[in-house]
Amino acid sequence: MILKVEHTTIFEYDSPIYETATEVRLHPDTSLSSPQRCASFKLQVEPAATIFDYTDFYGNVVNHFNILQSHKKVKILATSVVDTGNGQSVAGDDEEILLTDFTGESRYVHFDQGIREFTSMFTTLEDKCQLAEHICREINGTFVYEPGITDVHSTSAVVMALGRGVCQDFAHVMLAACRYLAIPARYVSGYLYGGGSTPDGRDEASHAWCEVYCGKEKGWIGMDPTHKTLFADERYIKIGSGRDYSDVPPVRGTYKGNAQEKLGVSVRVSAME
Amino acid sequence: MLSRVAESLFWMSRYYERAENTARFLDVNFNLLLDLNRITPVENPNYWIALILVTSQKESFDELYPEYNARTVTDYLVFSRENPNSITSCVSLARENARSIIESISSEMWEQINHLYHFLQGTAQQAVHNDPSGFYREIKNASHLFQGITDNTFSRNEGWDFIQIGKYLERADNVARLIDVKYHMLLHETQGKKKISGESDDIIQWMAVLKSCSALEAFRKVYLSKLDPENILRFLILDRTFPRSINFSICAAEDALWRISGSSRHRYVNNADRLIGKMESELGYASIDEIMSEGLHDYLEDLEEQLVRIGEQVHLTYFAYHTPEIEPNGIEEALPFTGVGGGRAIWSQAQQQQQ
Amino acid sequence: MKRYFETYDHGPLRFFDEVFSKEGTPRPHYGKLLQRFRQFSQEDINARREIINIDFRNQGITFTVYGVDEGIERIFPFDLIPRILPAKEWEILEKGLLQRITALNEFLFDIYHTQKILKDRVVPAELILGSRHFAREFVGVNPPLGVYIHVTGSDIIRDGEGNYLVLEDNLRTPSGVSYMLQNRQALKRAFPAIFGKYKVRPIENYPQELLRTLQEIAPPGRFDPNVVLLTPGIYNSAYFEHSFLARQMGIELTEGKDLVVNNNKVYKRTTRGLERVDVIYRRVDDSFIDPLVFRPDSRLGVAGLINAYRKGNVALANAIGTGVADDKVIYSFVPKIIRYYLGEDPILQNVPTWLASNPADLKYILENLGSLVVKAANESGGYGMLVGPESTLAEQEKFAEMIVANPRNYIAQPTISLSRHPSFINDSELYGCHIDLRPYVLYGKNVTIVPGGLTRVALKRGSLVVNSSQGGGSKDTWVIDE
Repeated sequence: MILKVEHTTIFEYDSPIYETATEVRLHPDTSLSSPQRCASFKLQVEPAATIFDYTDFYGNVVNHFNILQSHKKVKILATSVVDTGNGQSVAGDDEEILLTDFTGESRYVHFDQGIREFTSMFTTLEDKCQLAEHICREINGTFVYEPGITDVHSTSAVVMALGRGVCQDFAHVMLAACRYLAIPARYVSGYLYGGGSTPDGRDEASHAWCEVYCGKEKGWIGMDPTHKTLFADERYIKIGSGRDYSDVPPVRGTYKGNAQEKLGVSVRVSAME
Repeated sequence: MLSRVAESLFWMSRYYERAENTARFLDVNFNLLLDLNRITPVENPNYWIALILVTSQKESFDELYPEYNARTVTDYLVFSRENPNSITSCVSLARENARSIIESISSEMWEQINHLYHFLQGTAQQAVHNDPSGFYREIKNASHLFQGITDNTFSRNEGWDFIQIGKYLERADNVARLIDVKYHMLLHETQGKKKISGESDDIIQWMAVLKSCSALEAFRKVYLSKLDPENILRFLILDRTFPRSINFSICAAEDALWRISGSSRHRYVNNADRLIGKMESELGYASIDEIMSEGLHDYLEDLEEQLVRIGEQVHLTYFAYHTPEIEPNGIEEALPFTGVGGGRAIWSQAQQQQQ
Repeated sequence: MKRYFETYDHGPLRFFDEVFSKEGTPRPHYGKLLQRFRQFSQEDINARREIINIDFRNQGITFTVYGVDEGIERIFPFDLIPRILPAKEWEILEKGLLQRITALNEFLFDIYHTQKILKDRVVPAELILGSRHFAREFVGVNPPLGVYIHVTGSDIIRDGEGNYLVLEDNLRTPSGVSYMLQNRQALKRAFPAIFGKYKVRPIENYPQELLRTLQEIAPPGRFDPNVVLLTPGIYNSAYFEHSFLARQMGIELTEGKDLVVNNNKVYKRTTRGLERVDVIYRRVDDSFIDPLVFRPDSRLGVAGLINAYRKGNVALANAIGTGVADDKVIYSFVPKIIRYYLGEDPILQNVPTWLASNPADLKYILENLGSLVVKAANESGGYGMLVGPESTLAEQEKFAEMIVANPRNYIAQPTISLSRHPSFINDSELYGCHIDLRPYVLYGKNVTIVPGGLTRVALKRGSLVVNSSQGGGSKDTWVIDE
């Protein structure tokens, strides 16, 4: 499918702030092993700023900019056109050393008592991919999707204890379970077309799911514990991946000044065919 | 020069001057009350309220103390940590500022500030009550010594000019407040009459004002013994030669500001220069009769406001911790006080949960 | 009258005494010093100490002790008796340090580029990826001249036989060099005659050497580079040192709020507007240096600094992420690292080290807590440490729990045998206090090691902890040509 994404982020302040410095991870994944192709990407920032980029440790494209002079509003509009694939990577060319990062705990992914109990229900299968699928189905079936309970900095332990949350939380729980069972797994930030990113079809945020490493042959397989379909398919657009949310936040930045901040985000994904 | 260093020099100097002026107010008040002893008791609260009004924190004083007397007011103005303008607070702040730029000032300057700080730390409240003049003389001398050391050990560069600006803006402001409050009190006491009187008790009070500016002797040299209120005001506000008059202070601050920017009488470079130049010209051509007919209180209040605006513009032009040339003009749009310990928060942008 | 050194006890013999041999005869290079000190009365010594104390206090040579509300300023105790290193011993140290620093720098370059040493499994990859000092943000970035560790201060101790061992490689922001310089000045003033009797190699050029090193790493094409020192501010325990070094080098002492990044270039805020900065000698830890990339709650850093660094528009000394190589676990691999990159045997040996992450070692550690020194892998300054022989059973149990919960974070070493050196305690008594040595190594186009370094001394009877935060002091250190 050819999909167009318009992702708008607006920060508004009740009094002027200054020296905004922001990094955004909004560029669709362009790595060679990715099934999708990014046809175009455009980033617009108001007030105007020079935009720079680099590629981070996990291969994600990072754009960054700064605004020195005082302002009361920052608008970031990312528009991309992507030819999606089937959600499955072409080949698993990742090196063993890098996999180390995806098998341990990380900032939002903890091996707490809750995860140890949760994973005890799975018999350790030979096939890791199958095991991961079981975990994914279990989370999808037993956890309650409910926005507003958790926040952007909730850890897997918190979500385990609550038994509810949103896609970011479910992804973190799945990562904790997989990694605790020694399956390399990583966090994916991206978008989902059709029906909105939430099960009841709203479109106010980007989406998140997991990729599980299924050996050199199959590579990374995308699995989404938030949706019944479980596997990433041609409706999924991947931006990037990392150990957890903290490695791929769509927008992260700092500013100076004393003001109340209001954040507004809208995401629109539309088909171009 | 780093903005932060310039700013710390400015505030170091300003706080030191403020501590000295507070010591002067207190010292003279004690002397005055002794002079007036035959008509009013030393504990007359009116004379102590005046001191609080000069430093303008009546509300904060009222929260801490039940009444105005020698002990409470001395305690508040000398020792209180709650009072940001107490001598102790001012000296601590002067020292903190100095400490943060210790590599930019001479070690003699640092030793002198440090010495005064430790002297205050080691002074018991009772000792001040026992010998107030001795104590205040110590503070004044420490300030004079500091200025002398600065003159003799600090290079005549931009930093020196910022020290001068801090000192003279503070001094002009303090003298204006002092006159304003005394004037107000004397008006109040001679009820019914619109004009301030030249009666002998009042003259004693005006002499006290002169004394607190170390101006009595200098005044006599100019006006001989014509101790009438208008002459005194003319001297304290408009005299161009006496180093504690408002006009002298403004001229000195103007010189320093213009040296930094390269402004001149014919051309100003920034708003701070414009405002100080304007103020200097007005003072230069003002007469005491005009001031009195306009109303002394209004005149002084206006002067204090102008001083505040100049301070703001100096801040925006040289210290502001952002980039001044691209800032909006409105001071209210900008920026937090940036002295030592001032708010320089860096905030993280909010992040949205992926849903 | 009692003469100094008449009653000095140079035992117990398991420690190496710097001044006296096991038999109690003075080592030759201390001869002239002892001779002079034996002539001093206590009044002579007191008078000299007074001169120095007044000097130190007036100059504000202090450090701040943490853990107290506002931080207490203290004078860093200075011991009057200098430590003397003969040139031939110093040459071994010099060669050993050069070798070690060269290998560690190659290691850092490798870790942040191809990671060959991990692929060859000489160092376990999980140790690197699991280290909180491994800066993923910095992988693939080329620091100027390929140098990561521009300033290091290795801690060197001596075993019972007098062999020099490396206890720690301080590759992040080692401090103390200002005390080295001040101590020399103080000693020259207090004992000019003794100083004149020895050919002591000078150290006074350190600030110039440091500045030269910093200028060498400036971004290409930046003629007459603008170098600044970045300090966390006046409440930092080493603030005195920061202001001292800035003044000695004639560069500006800046705080995070003085700097701003615009379009990937770093500027300082001056009264004349923004001025470009080329090199930052930073004394702010990695995690606080850029709130955009590292700790977002840091008020000490400069947002965007790492991106400017990545683009090569500014140089940082030391580079980001050097802590991964001075982690106490990685420390145990340094001999292997030297062999791997240089194909040489290490000239300076390590202290034997057990890794709690290694099951066999863990067992040994837990069984011998009472005789070992346990250290947290990522802490410095004597914090997070258990000295077995001096600990209570309750403390040992607490540490045992912490070690089992997080084995990667702990190592153990035998109770280290710091050598002893006569020093004044309680003002007048001479006692064999334990000492170590921190030489300072500069690495720009070349490696420069200023002769000597800072000798730290534990000024408490029997104490093995020399850190200033725990009651340590320092001595002037002389490298002498005979």
